[in-house]
Amino acid sequence: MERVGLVSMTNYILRRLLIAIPTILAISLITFIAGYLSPSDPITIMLGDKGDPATVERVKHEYGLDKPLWEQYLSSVWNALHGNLGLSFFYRGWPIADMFKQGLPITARLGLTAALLGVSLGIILGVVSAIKRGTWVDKLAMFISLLGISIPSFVLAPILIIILAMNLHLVPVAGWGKPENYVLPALVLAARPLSLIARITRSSMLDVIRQDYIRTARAKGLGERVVIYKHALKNALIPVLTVTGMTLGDLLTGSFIVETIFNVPGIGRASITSIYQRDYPVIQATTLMYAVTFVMMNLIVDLLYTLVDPRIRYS
Amino acid sequence: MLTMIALSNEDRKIEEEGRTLWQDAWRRLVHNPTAVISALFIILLVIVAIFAPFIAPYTYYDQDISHARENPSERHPLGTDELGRDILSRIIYGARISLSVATVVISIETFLGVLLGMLAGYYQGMADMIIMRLTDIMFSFPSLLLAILIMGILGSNIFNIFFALSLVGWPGMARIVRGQVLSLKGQDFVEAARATGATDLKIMVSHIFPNLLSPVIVTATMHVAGIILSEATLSFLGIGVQPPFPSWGIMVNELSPLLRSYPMLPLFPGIILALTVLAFNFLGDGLRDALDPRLKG
Repeated sequence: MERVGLVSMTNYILRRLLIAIPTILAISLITFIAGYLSPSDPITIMLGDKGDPATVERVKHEYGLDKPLWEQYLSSVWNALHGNLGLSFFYRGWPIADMFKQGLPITARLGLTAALLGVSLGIILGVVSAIKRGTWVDKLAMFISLLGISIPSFVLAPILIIILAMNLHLVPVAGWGKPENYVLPALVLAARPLSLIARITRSSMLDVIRQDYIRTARAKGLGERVVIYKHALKNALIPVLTVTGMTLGDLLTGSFIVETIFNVPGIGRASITSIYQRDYPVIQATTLMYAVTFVMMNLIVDLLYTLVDPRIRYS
Repeated sequence: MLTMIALSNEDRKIEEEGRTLWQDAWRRLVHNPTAVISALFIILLVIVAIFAPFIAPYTYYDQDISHARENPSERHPLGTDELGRDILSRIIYGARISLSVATVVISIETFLGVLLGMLAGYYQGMADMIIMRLTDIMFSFPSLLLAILIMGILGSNIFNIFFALSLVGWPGMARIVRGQVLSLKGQDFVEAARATGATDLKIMVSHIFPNLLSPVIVTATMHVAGIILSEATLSFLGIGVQPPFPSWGIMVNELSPLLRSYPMLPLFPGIILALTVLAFNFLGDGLRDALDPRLKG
């Protein structure tokens, strides 16, 4: 039984990875073609109008722009597979892989902090609301989560800066480098996942609490705490996991916005800057990296389902 | 006493039978206070947007240099920005941008989504395969992120905003329409139409399409909230609507540097934006409950 489960799970992972490949290739192809069709010419971006024909030829060769289009695309895919993401147009000759090495740890740390905050606070808020259903605690929690869903992050950021930094002086208003600088960006980034998770946890808990086995657990004299945390919460977490998976996209998109607002030197801000600078190779590389991350994260969430709900089988 | 109640109940039942689906939905909608308030807010916003030049105290570009960077006053009810432009007037003109982007994008998105969703659901086979694989690819990537990247590559102008947001928006609509068509296709009234010799086109247009209206209206209303938010986000990031046009997103961006000294100012456009998004979401919820009470959560 164990072994069969393991084999089918390995098969499932392999198949999912195989589906992910065409998706990622399609996205890379779309960005490549869009970059090619884009109105501005990379040579003009790099050299301005002043480049003499010899320099233009040399730069074209350096960036492989003298090769036919299909060869450019194939070699970009081949290089990407070997960790070579090409060179920046704007910062001439700067390997994009180096740019990622600087920014990626920051973006990842910020994203993980936000994910942990969102999931843990969201579940707590949802459970408390469900237990205290109908009371002011429940209403307040649901109101907060409604705000978290409807207020865009670039509006929430100034509000939190005013309250937490300027009035309560809990965190610094701006700056980067110290651990406390992560607090505000992570909170803003976590707001939407937190709110969605709180809402789904609440309704899922309310569903579960009505089930027979919870009544049985109570009837056999278990304490309320055990009933809620050991019996109810565990089963209520399945839809929570689904929503968590759905909010991963918000975290990725949010990194662009939050890093721009708080001036965080991560990949998100670098991508926005590269857009201002029309630095296509950087835009293409970022797209690819975000696509791979997103596909992988979704796969991980899917696999987590088995841990929470052994009834789910991969077929 | 009892008979009277029974009678009046019966009257009501007879009366109910005489109403159409739309009248029923309308009744349910107007009895939903959140939906009504949201609808009134949206109507007000539309009126303000249309008559902006008559309502706004100033234009969106008038610069009152001697009163630049000011908190709300009688002269400028919501204060002024760094260039001395009236924030209230800019918010009013901003409604035009938000709502026109929303109108154009939701029209394109709905048209594409309904067309492709119907083709996929009705003909199935190859068309279905291609269209659904396309939506799979689009769904495998966060839509706003894709819009950001498209804008980044194509450059910022209003037509590219329409293009980027419609492109990322249609798959959601197409999937919903396809699902509906699949379930409608097998129903007796479609079989009956086919038996009377109706062509595919006739069946799709006059038998299936009318039954798609409810889910399409609900989905479109919900999507409008997302489109308005996306446009504001793109503009906030500097890759959407370009200055001096007063998109609410640009206004938040432009007013943010004033946060330390004038903390209220960046909040004004932000609050209007949040309220608008909220109103469309609430109205969408209300429409769903009204048009399809079975879905009520």
